[in-house]
Amino acid sequence: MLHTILLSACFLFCFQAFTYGQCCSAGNPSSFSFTDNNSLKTKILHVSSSYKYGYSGKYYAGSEPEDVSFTAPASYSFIDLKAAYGISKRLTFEASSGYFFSKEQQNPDPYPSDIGYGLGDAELNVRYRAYKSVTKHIELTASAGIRLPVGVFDLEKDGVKLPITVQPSAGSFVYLAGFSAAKTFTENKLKLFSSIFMEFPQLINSKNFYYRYGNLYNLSISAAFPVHKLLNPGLQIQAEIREHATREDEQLVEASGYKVIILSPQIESDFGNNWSVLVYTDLPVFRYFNGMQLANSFKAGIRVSKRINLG
Amino acid sequence: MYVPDKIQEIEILMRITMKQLKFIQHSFIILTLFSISLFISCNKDEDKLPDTGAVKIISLTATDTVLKAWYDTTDIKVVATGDSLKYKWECNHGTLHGSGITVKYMAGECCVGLNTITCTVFNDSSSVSKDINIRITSYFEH
Repeated sequence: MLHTILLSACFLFCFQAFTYGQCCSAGNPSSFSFTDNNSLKTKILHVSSSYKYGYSGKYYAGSEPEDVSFTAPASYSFIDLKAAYGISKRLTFEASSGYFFSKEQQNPDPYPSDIGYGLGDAELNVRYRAYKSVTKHIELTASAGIRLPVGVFDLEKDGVKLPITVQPSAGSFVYLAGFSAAKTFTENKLKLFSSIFMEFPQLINSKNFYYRYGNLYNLSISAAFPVHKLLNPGLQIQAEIREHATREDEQLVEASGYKVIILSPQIESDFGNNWSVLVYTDLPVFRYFNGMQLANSFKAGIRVSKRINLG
Repeated sequence: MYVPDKIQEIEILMRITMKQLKFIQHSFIILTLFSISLFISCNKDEDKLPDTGAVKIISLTATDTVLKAWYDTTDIKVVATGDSLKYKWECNHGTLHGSGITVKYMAGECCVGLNTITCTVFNDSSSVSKDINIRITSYFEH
């Protein structure tokens, strides 16, 4: 009975996300945690909730910090709810959405900050286990999905619409694709993961706005070494490329797009009856920004998850 | 001989009914999906009040129409006629501060190009909008 209620609640939550009709902006923070990539066993429900915080404090031109005469940092505080369900031994369906407590862009003095908040976009993903070898402990998984622009996109203050960078929704559909490989070494329990994820944002075309964010490519290699049930440390290195954005008449937005290399240490602890908590941080170790842009300084997050067998 | 014929006739009728039911079922699914997609892609313009002519924008002006990214700002002012006027402002790129008849516009390096600021003046009976273009040049341009 409890399982049925939980499953219904998850799918109701997903459906609820569809009921917010909006039109255009910059969207949910991407997450490429390596523990999310594998397919689930049949009738296994994996429910998780993550809190993420990100801060951007310095302007970069190319690979060097730019000395500007003003300070205008940006930050976000976001929580999401994700449900993944193993439909069959090969197929896993996943749905998620989230809420921005704040999405803030500070402005040079004396102007006040622009602060957005509200429901973010919803994401639907299907993961397909293409190959699994029990003897070699290798698993290959492909995924495809879509991010639906159902979040808040029309926030305003005193009759003035806030800039799209602080609107919770990305304002357009985003197509998602990925491929991951996992290998476990039985002798020392070392787990290796490698994955590539791609995001293809679609055009935001409304009465006053014509813009397309650049495609995103994220390649990551991760290793996890379980020391104890309560201590499962991991290290991930990500290479991420965001292409230039385009605006009216297919003009390239020069100050958009980047190449970054991120180091992500993380610790996962399993406890109780299939509960798990993951703490991680993303630290950029190399940054190259086209033109001059505000660069992310760090991201950090905590995720609590529960695995439920509905079989 | 009569009875099997009747059964055959009933079977044919049942098949037709099943086909009709499937058709209705498919139509219902398509209609539901169509309604959901319509709901998702709602048009914000539908919320606007009709332009009955009661509100009139006399002018929409800016103190400067070419700005350097992260460096310059401009004051945009609207002059309008009508009773109990209210004002809404939005821009495609950049940031607006203030409210009412005057707002301040600024933009960063990501907004280099010709940007549009839209002012909507409205009251209980009508609504009128007007655009002004502001060009943002690069912070690095001299």
